[in-house]
Amino acid sequence: MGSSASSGEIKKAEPRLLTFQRALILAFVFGVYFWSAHGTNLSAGELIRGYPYMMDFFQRLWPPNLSLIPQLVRPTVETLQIALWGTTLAIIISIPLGLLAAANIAPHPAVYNAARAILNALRAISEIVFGLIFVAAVGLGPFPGVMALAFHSAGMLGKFYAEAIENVDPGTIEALEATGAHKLQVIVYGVVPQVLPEFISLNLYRWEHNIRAATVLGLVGAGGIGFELITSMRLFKYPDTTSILLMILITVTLADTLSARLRKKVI
Amino acid sequence: MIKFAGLSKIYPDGVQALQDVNLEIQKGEFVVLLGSSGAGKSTLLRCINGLVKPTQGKIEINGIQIGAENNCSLRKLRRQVGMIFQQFNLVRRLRVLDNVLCGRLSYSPVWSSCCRFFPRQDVKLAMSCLERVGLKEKAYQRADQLSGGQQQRVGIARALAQQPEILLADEPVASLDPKSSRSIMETLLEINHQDKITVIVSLHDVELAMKYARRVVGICDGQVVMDRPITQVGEKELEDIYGERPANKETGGAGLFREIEYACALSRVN
Repeated sequence: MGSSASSGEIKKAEPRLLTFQRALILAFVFGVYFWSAHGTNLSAGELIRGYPYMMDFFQRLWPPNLSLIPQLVRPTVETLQIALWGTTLAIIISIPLGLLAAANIAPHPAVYNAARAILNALRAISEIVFGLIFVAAVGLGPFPGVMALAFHSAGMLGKFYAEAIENVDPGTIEALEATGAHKLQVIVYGVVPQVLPEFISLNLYRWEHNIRAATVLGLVGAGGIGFELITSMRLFKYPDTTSILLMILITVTLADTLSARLRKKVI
Repeated sequence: MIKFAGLSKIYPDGVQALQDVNLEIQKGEFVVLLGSSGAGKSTLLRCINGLVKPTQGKIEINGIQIGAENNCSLRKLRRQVGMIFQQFNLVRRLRVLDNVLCGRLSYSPVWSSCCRFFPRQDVKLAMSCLERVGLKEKAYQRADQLSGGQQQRVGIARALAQQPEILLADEPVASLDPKSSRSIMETLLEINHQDKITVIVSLHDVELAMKYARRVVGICDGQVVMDRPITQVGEKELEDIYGERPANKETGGAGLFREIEYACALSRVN
């Protein structure tokens, strides 16, 4: 009772933001928005003026060229293959990085900071940018796509693994250390069983994300169905474009459903 | 024998958990560290197996000073010292048997044990440890399916699997109901008797301490404020006959508690 009464008093005594200060903050926020709108040429008028051209584009997209579908099976499968290997390599890279980036496992703060820095760098560079780099390095095709997904996903997964590992019950780790177990044994018996469900769920989610990402990677020449997409648009074969978009939609939906079901089973 | 000399611990946040602790514990003793929470009992226990590094003073086990060793010898030290915890600290998603086998990790080669392979005699030993705590039939269940008292028994079996010389128990019954508490304390006493393992238990419950301890060390604000044997062996025998402690249990427990409080207050004044 006493504490609730006193907290009420504190709230009353707390100085409120002055109306003037509020107005100033509001003005600042609005200012930033207007400034950004100017910077991005945001303009409703242009959108309305462009409306006929947009409609023209949509009309040319229809009807889809369904006879193309059989030819799309191979690039779709390639996209799935890119996602599979990209995710798998990412998992292999990010397990050691994730362990070292977990404060409760890292052997030394310097190692922890280094691992965190590497993961941040990998995350900061998007799949598309990695795609451009690897296309430049190893040429066009699905292989640079695999590498692009592997590196960027390793950054994401490593960070999530580290968070999962840091949430492990410290008592269990202490108990295993108290038995005289080696650090590796502590990881295998204490950490792995505790993070396994989350680990599987994260990987499935990443695989599903990578299928979506792999459809885009073709735009920079890194293989898969995205390559067909950009080609059809460059050749103004818009009915082909529609078929490709439909194919992507179906593939992604199926992968999402499958991954969601599997994740539900794990948790 | 465990010998503490001038042991102090100040945590990085400035909390002084131990202050000039001098104590000797003989092999095969059953000692209860008694004190309120935050008194420094856990820190003192954790200094024995190197989970906490003291800031000052030294500890000797069987005449060998500990504290300055590398990882390898620290692991060798830890395997002679079993420990059980208030929150049991089992690997909840592993089977009971795997949890007990964790006590064998320090004896197993790192690589084969990381592939979840244990020699047959280790599995046999783990099963016999489980049998001793009466949980043999639960060996293949997941640890988190067991009740609190059962989980603490698995904790004891894990410590026994280390074949330790010393058993540390940090508030082993604080999360348990009175019946499970008694049976856990009796198991610890039995291990102390049969295996001649030194047992050091931290408790905050005076009644339990009076009932089971041979020697009570009172701890307050990180200092040893009382150290005395409990010599009412006759009473313990009476208890075996009547199943309950005779009438003076109230006065005995309360008296001891008051004594610690008094010593505590005195040390604060000084």
